[in-house]
Amino acid sequence: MWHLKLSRKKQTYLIAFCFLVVPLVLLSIFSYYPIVRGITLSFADYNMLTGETKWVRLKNYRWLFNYKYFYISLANTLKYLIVVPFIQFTSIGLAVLVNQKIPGIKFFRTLFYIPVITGSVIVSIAWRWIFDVDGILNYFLMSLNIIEEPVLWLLDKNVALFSCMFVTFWRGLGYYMIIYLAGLQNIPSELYEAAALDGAGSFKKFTKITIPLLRPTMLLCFVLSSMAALKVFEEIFLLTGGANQTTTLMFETYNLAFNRYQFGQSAAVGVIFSAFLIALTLIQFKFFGLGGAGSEKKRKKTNK
Amino acid sequence: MKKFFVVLSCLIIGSLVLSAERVTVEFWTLSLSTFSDYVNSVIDTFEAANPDIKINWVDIPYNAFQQKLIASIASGNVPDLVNMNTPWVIDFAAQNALSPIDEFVPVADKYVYLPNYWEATVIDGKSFAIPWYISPRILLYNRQIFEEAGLDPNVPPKTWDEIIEYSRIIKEKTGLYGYQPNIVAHLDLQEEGVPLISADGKKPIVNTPEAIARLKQHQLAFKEALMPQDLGGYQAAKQKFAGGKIAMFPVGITMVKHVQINSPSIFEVSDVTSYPLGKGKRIPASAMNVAVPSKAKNKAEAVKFGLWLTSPYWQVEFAKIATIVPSTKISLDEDPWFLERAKRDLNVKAQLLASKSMIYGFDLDAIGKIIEPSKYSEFRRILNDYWIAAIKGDYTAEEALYLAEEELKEVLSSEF
Repeated sequence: MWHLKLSRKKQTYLIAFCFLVVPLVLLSIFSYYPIVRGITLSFADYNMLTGETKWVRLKNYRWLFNYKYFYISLANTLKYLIVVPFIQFTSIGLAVLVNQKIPGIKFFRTLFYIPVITGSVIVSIAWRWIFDVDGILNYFLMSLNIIEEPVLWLLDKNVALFSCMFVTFWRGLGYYMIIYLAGLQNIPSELYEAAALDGAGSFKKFTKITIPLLRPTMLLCFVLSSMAALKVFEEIFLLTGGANQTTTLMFETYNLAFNRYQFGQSAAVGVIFSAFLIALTLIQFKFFGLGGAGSEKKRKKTNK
Repeated sequence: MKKFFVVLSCLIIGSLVLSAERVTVEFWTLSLSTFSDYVNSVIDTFEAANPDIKINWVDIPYNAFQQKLIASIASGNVPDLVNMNTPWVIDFAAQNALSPIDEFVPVADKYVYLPNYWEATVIDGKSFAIPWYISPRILLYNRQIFEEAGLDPNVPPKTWDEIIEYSRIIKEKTGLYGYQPNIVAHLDLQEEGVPLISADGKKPIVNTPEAIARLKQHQLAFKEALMPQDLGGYQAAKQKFAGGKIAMFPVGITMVKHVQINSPSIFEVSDVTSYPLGKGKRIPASAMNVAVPSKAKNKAEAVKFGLWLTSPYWQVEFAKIATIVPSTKISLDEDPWFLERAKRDLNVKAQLLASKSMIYGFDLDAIGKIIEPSKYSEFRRILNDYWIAAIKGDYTAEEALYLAEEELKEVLSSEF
């Protein structure tokens, strides 16, 4: 029998590396290769149907800066970030509510989570009916005399994007609520008990204990939801089809590649979009500190 | 024993030679599985007449078709003959993904087809597809709503102005919408004879009195709520007509069958009339074609089968089971089979009406072949955005068309 003469430490390393190789290979195939390919494609005129690739240097980027819908989609993508604070603060509030020890609370938790597991196509079709000019939303608002005329929820360029945002908000709420709920349940109850002994009220407990200890969870959720907001596609595709100036960068990437077969220009939008995402994530890390470790350091500094 | 081996070798070699000679043509259709008996009989007769060619038929659902075709072309494993609509033919041909077929088509055979439809896929003098079946537009209307509004259902409107007039009465008497057009700017404009673009493809021509008049007509219908305010287009209109919420639906003839299957009660009270003719004397009539990918292995055999499939006889046979109109010059309106059935079947009545109006039938998406492919999509999008915005009242008709033309000038003159 063949024996490998390695020290125990080296054997441990070898085994660890063997396990690491599999995910690395998968990552290389499905993540790193597409990234490199996407970047190279953005400098080329690629015809997927014939397989011909012609290098055009910065032509695709120059084209983009002359393309009207690039600016519209960029502005809409930025506007879409408005949904992030709303979704986060509502999720925190909801998580605090469903964290109460009252009978039947599991039913509410499930109820809030249902939109997350419902297919996006079904959600969008249902919301199309709600937002229809003759739909239920206009009916209610008109019955309550809030509006006089039906609102063109998905057709009016001043409203359509916000309608899509609302659907994103509604779909995401349960998802972040569950993450915050896990965060809340990790906060030791002793802290609240001690604060209660010191005479702290609910508001003080929330601002001095809950929020600071939820900081790492908040960072995660803000980053995730910003990325989701910037990457929004399904709502736009299914609710408005990108019409009425509701296009976003992600929608344009799809539109250029699969409706117009302009893969080079589509890749260029993708590259700009990725750069944008990286920049935003860095800003968020800076703003919230580097998660748990950062918060710990900060707290120590403040205590000193 | 020796004899046995000689005979066996001869048999093996013989079968190899025979099988090598038999060419297999892979043929893709678009959502035609419901007509499998028909397609199979076309294939069987073709194979019987051409024993050296075998047809391998694959039907692909409409929604998955484009992606599947792109993937197959990119991977090099391409079908030999593909069923495509005209915009796809133009798009794929512009990217050298389709093969010109002129060398495989006897000149006389081209004259079998309606010239507007053969020409629709001729780019730079090269033919890229054989036209197959056509779905011209007609006006589908609800007789019951007409009656409730006090209108004679036997005298349907003939022009867009009459449609507006009828809609006004329907709105007033029943509170329902009169009609829902599928608003697509470049189609509307071509119906009114607006050229859209100069013959050399370099200058936009969208700001004309005819264009302004058509846009004002839409604005008026929108303002008076004669049509649904969501401007939802084809899909939304389909639901509304099937739900009895709109009286008139200008639409392709295939919709008659859809209403029959999905909304029998509305079908019972439905009727059809000719599509209103605009100043351009053009009726939108989209065509399905068959084309040969440039990487196809058996081009000659594929075209041979394509010509068989789209021959007048087989197209008329197809029209007997599907609500379509043939792309060949043979007319349905003298065929006793159709004349007799039109009295009791609304689908056939629609086919006859459409067939008679085919002198005005055009595949209006064929305009894509004179605008540079990379600019065509943006051209349509900009035009449509201004068109819709003006209908909603964001611009006057004059402003919208002026601004659209200015912007389109930039798009057409840009070097990218």
